[in-house]
Parts: sequence; structure tokens; C-alpha cells
Amino acid sequence: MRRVAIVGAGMTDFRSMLPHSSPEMIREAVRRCLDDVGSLSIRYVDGVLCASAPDAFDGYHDKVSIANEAACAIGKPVTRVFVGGGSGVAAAVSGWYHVASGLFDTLLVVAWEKMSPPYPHAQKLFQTIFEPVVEQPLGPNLIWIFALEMRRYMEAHNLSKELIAEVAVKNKANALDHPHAQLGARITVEDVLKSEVMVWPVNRLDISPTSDGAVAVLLASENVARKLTDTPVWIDGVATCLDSQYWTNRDLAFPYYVYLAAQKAYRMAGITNPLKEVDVWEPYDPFTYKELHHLDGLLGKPGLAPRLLKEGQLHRDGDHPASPSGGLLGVGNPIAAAGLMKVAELYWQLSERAGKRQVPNAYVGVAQAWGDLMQVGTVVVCRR
Amino acid sequence: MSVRLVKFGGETLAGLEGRLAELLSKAAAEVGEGRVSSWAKALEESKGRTEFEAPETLVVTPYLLDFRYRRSTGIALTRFLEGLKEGKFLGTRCSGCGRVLIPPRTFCEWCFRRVDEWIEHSGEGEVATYSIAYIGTNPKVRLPKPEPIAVIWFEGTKVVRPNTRTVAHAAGILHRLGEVEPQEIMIGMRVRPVWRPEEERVGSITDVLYFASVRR
Amino acid sequence: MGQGGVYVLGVGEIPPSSSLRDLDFREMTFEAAVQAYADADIDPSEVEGLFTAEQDFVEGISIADEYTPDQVGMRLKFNMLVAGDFLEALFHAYMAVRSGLMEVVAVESHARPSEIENYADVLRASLDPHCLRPILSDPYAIAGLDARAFLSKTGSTTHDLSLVVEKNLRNAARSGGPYGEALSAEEVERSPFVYEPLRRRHVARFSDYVAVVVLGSERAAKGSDRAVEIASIWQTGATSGAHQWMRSWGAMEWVRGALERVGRDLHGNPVRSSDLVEFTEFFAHQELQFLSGLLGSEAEALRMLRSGDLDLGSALPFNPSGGCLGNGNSLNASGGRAFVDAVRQLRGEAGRVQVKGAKAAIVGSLHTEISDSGTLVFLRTGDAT
Ligand SMILES: [Zn+2]
Repeated sequence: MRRVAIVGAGMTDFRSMLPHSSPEMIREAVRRCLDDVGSLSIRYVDGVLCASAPDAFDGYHDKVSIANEAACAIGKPVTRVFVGGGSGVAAAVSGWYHVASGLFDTLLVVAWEKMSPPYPHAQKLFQTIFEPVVEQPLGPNLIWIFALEMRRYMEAHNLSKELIAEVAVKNKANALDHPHAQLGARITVEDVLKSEVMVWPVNRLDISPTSDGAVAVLLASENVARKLTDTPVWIDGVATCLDSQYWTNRDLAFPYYVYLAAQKAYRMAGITNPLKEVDVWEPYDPFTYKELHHLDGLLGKPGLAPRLLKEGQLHRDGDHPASPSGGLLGVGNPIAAAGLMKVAELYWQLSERAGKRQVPNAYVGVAQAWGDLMQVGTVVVCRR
Repeated sequence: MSVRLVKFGGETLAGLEGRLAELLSKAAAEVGEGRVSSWAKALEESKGRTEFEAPETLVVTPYLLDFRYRRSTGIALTRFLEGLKEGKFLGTRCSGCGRVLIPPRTFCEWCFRRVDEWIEHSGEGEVATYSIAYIGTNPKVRLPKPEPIAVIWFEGTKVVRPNTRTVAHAAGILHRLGEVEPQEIMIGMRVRPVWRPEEERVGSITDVLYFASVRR
Repeated sequence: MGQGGVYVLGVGEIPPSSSLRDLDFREMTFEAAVQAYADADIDPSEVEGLFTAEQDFVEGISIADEYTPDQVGMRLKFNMLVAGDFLEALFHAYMAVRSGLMEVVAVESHARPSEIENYADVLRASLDPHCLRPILSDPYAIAGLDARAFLSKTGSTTHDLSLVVEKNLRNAARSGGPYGEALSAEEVERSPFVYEPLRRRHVARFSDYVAVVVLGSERAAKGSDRAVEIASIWQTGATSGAHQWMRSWGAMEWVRGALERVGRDLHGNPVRSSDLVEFTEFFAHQELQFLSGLLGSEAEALRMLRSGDLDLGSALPFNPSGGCLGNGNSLNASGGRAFVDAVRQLRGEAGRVQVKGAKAAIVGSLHTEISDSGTLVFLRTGDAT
């Protein structure tokens, strides 16, 4: 297989109600990404792959057109992939096969989300993700399904809300070191438990915010990567896995689809013992419990992640640092952009560009995102 | 720095075709000064906080997306909805894996084969997981009364993965719980459907009002 | 592993129809998938991943890929949704197989325009919200602007557009397309203007449709004597974004770029070696624009049309299936219909519209009806190389 590397990354600040338009955010992320690769000219980019979650947020139908000019894609291939919340990491997966196929030597992967235009709130749009005949008439919202899954997960491993709240404490503190973060803060478990209950057992501080933001990474084939940078970060394993749409027929306690995707990506990257071999984890954390739930899937051991958290091993200075970036809870959650931010974090960590967030001796990292109706797992394994 | 709202109405809309004018004026009516002031606040806050240039003036252009669909429910869901109207839960059963499928489908996604055996279920089952909603689709507005919701797994349909405690499959649906205090709800609690009076049923999932606890 | 050829192992479809209301989208896709796997003589368990082309607002569901895996037997497998036309998803599937990531994959796309009550509002939402949406009450007016630019640039007339309609409806009448009929260009000319210079009959009507296609690597295709090779495929973006201002009106710039690339892959001119073309012309003038792009000459494209060189049995049969004018506009699934028809031609299974001895075909599709970006595929049979 052709080897594919990340050779640069850039992102905008993640903010609620960023006053810039989507094309302006995209252009800014792209500019920063190219600046990162020694001010590479956009002319050397063979094509663009973009990712953005539901069209509804931007209020557009077919919003690939938003990225077209902003990413300087005119006359080049430009397509958009999209698997709900899993989109950001799916974009890296798709970007990988663009380059690995031999059709592209360089590919710009761009993800953005602008969640502030919908009025009164983006949540209303999530209603239309549900089955139109048997679920939508019940008036569901997105937080419902998280709460249902969280409750099931707590039951399966006898987890307390106190322990789960520690994820928010850890990630928001990590985000204090992230220059683009929206919600970096020093908070306590008490703060999380005392924040208002949205949909029990989910409190406000268990949830990542709605955000605007964009991220771009540049991928390159092996030959080109070595010319562009001394510190390429290789994408050595990629996978996605989608479970059944009939989510009420499934047990939500364990994300089996994340497990299967991870196993495939590990096999491709030659990893046999992820707990030992992976130095940095960026699991998808739109809600506190999700980081643990996804790590369980990535590690292939139900209930292991909460134990690691309890022992302090998921902290940046622990043995298995998870979301050293600050994650979605701390950096913000512009859906597709948040997933790609996790991939960019691996690039920064593994090329020792993570500044105050740097995890020492980071050689192998895993980023993962998740989406749809508790259904899709997208995974990449990176190596320096 | 300022935020300006484009108000479509009267003169501005004169000469535009009916449907478009309707969309624009509806949108303008819904976006009020509250929206303008929240953008103004965001603009103020972003000043000096974003590294790239922020605009001096922000213009808010209201636009309403109003897309309408008339969805065909197909073979399986049509029959399911007809069953609800009669106060029954109808499902299908796969002859390959033996699973009971509710919501019903005419194919089995495990075996990838056609499924045409229909079964009737009482609708009694257990709470697979539950939650209590304090908000609807606008997180800023608290519901007057919290709503318990749950995934219901129907009795006798569970397939458990050998060697683990996880459930590989169970026929089940999303619905609301009723006649129960939030603190009484537990995973595994036995429940039964409470139907709307027959004359009020229309062939919709809401023909079931909610699921109530079966006390033993 | 990887870098080798990519082959079409099987195709399945529910033929285009003005309405498929008795099945829901899952049930109809299941039928097409069963057909595709049988056609490929493959068990669905051997298929490793799924690529779908869907658009949320066409589906009426946000995050449309939620509802894709079960009906094609792809639960718990690789999945990628490409928000565009079928051929864009095919482009992704092609790269995934070529990269060595997977050996056998499925590509699916469906559309049910009959279930959308106000499609014009959906398409209008693809335009810039500040500058275009308040102006255009029907987004198809963009096509009117484009058609006018084409006519004025080339000195052609609406009669030429009507000749395209006459040909495609005639072909569809033979192929069984839902809108096939014997209608002379003169009769087409009598239909009223809708987006001047476009008349009502210059615009494709809607049809519901689903296609499932199975692709495989060289190894997976071994032993099959019906496998059609995807010799090359390339997608090219638009000359403009959502506001359309910079668009190169009257021409399809993207065709030139895509053709260059496909030609480079083939080490030759794809047009000269093609026996037929299938393209998603949502409006009559788009067929001429696409052909002009392929030939590098508008005059030559018009000459071929007027002299009947695009008819069945002539030099370069163009849309022998009847195209979108004859089979309907199936939105994001339209490219799937064109693709399946082309594969059948190369297998010699095209029935009454069979192009004799067809060994190579060009298939093209537009990203949406009013965008000027698209995908170009060059297909050939095993013995065409
Ligand atoms: Zn079965």
C-alpha cells in the first residue's frame, strides 16, 4: 500500500456565533494549514475533500459549494463526505484512500461547521435525524438518545455520575492550553453535577457546546511528504463501521461498531496491543460519558476506560492520555471540524508541535469520531 | 461595530412571487431583536479574541427553509401502523436467525434475506434504558413538566450474546413512560402499552399514549 | 495489493418510474441490492463496504447515511456517504478499491422526487442566501441563463435543443424509459417557454429510481467474463460557488479538465475510442455542452447532432437509453441510471437500444441540475484494451 502522511494542519478558533461566514472560516483554516507547510502554494494541491455535517446547519442544500471557492478548489476534484458526527475523522479516512489510490499526491482535507445560524436553536434540526414514521412523531431531540445511551452504559458498569463528570473536568482543563479553544476552564466535579439537568442523566456541563469553526489538514504521498517536511505524521490505519439503523433493537452499553472499526485500523497499522502501543488517544467526547464509552470500544474491553479514568491514567500526564487537546468538551464542537481537529491534534502531538499540550514520547496516536443514531465509528491510527 | 437585521416586508417584497415572499416575510417575523442582540454580543466578544479580522458590521438575513415531504411508508411500516390503529403491535420474524423484528421490515439485515412471516405482540416488555427530558428542541426553554422517555424491549424477543451480558438483539421501540414517578423508573422495569381510545387512533406511533409500569 | 484495475461485478436497479409509492426507500433499495448481488454472483457477506450518494434535503432526513446499511446487507461494515451524484460515490469507491483498502464494495444511490412536495425550494437553498435566494423564485432559471449563453455563443437555436429532445425521447421509447415517445422537434418547439430560451419539453421530468452497483478489484473480477472495467474516472469541481457569479456561462469547463485527466490515464483520447456516451442531461442544452466539452468544439457537436451522428446506429450514439429527458431526473441517483445503462451496453444486454459491438463508453454526470461540476467515467470491456 502507498503510505500517506499528514504534512500540515491549521484551524480557526472554535466559537459560538463566530461573526465570519463559512467560506471565510474555511479560507482561514486553509491558509493556516498551507502556512504550516512552509507557505505552500495552493497550486500544488491536487484536490480537495471536504466534510461538514447536516446541510441544515448552514441553511444550505448541497453545501459543498460553500467550500468550492473558499478552499481554492476550482477546476480540481472536490467532493464532500458526511457520516453525521463521525464526519471529521471520516474525512481523514476518505482522504487516505484518495492519496493511497495513487490518484492524488497532495490532498487538502477541510472540515467546517457553522451551527449558529439556525434559529431558535440547532437542536431543532436534529429532530429530522430520527425515523420519520415511528420516531419523529414523538418529538425527540438529540440529547434524548445520548441520555438513553448514558443511562444504559452507567447500568452496565455501575458507574456514578461523579466519575463520569471527571471527564469534563479533565478535558476543559486540557483545553486551557489550546490556543483555539472555546471552553477551556478549571471546574470541579461539583460544578458539573450542579449545572442544570438537560435530559437526565445529562447535565449542561456534560455536553459540548454548539460552535462555529473550521479545520484543514494537508495529506501527501510518501515521496511528496518527504520533500515537504522533516516531520511527516503517517496515517497507518483507517476504518469506518456503520451499525444498523434499528437502534432500538441494539444494546447501547458497548459501541460494537467502534470496536470493529478500531480492530480493522489496528490490523492495518500492525498494532496488536493498543493499550501498550498507543501513546495518545483522541476519542470522540461530545458528551462526558462518550469519551469512556468510545475508549472501551477502542480498547476492546467494556468497562476498562472508567477504571483508567479513576486511576488518573487518562490525564495528559497519565499512562494513557485521552483528549490532551481538550476534546470537544473543551475546544468546542463544530461537528465535522471537531472530528478533524482530533486528527490535527495527533499531527501536532506526534510531530512535537503541541506546545503546552505536548504529551512526552508520543509515537503512536488514535483519533476516533462517532455519529448518526449511535451507529458509526470512524478511526485513524497515526504514527510519527 | 453593529448588527443590522434585514427586515423583509411590504415594499421590499412587492413584485416577488407569492411563495418566495411568504418564506421571506415569515422568516423576518420569526427573527426578532433578541436574535440581533445575541449576535451583537457575540461580535463584541469576538473582538480581540479571534486572531483573524472580525467584521465591523454584521447583517442578519433571515431565511426560512420550508421543505415538505409526503413519505410512502411501504409494505412493512404501513402494516405496522394499521396494527397500531387496531391496538396491536405487529412485527415480522426472520426464518434464518429467528429474530422478531419490531419495527417490522420485509428483509432481515443480519441474514440479508426476504422476511414475510408476520406475528402479533402484546406490546408488553421491559425498559431497556430510560431518561427524563427537561427540555425540548430549544435547550433554553425548560419543559413545564419533565417527560420520561425510554427504549422498550418487547417480552420474549431478546437474543443475548453468548459469553457476555450484552443483548445482541431485541424487538423494541422508542416511546414515552407514563403513570410513573421519575424516581420509580428502573432499567428492567416491566411495562405495558397504554392505548388511546379506539375512536381516536389514526394509525400512528402516537396511538400508544405511553408505556406504564406493570405492577406485580 | 492496490493500484490495480477496478471492475464492475454486478448491477441492480429499480427502473425509473414517475412514482414508486408502494415500497418505502428501504424496501426498494433491498430489491435492487438483491439483484446486484445475484448479478455479481456474490454473497453479500463478501462485500466489505458501502458508498452511498445521498443529499439530506432530497431524502428529507438529516444525516441520511443513518438509513443506508441494513437494506443492502452492509450493517457493521465500512461506510461512506458522498453528498453528491452517484458517480461521485463511485469515484470514492474506485479509489478505495484501488488503494487496496477493500476488494469488493457496493455503491448505492436512490432518490424519490415524487415524495418531495416543493423541490424547487430545496434546490433554491443550494444558492447563496443573501444575494441569490431573494431574487430567484425558481432555481431552474439558472439553467435558462446558461442555455441562453450557450445559444448566443454558438449561434445555435432552440430548434437544436428540440432535436436533442426528439432523439432522447425516441431512444427512451425503445429502451422502455418512462417518458419515451415519438415527438418531433417541431412538436417540442410548440411547448411553452419556462425559462426562456428553454421550453417545457427541454426540461427533464422527475422519476424515482435506485441503483446498486458492486465493484471489485482485479482479483475479485477474475473468472468473470462479464466484468466491465472502470478504466478511468475523474471528478472536477465547479467554476463558481453558491453565488454562481464567476461561473463560465454557456460552457461546461469541468469536462475539459476531467477529459484531460481521463485521457492521460488511458494514454489516448477517450472520445475517439468510445462507442457510446451516457450523460445526465437535465436540460436539453446540457447534452450539447457536454458533447462540446468532449469534442473540444461546439461547432462539431452541433454538426453531429444535426446530421444524426448521435442517433442509435450512427457514429457516436449519445444517450441511447434516452437520457434524463427520456428516463427522468432522478436527482442524485441520475448518474447511477446512466452508469447502469452503459454497463448493460458493454455487456451486450441493452436490448432494443443495444449499440452493436460496444466495447467502450463514456459516462458523465452533473453534480446537480444547476451546478457546473461533474464526474467523467471511461468504461471498457475486457477485450477492448
Ligand atoms: Zn435473519
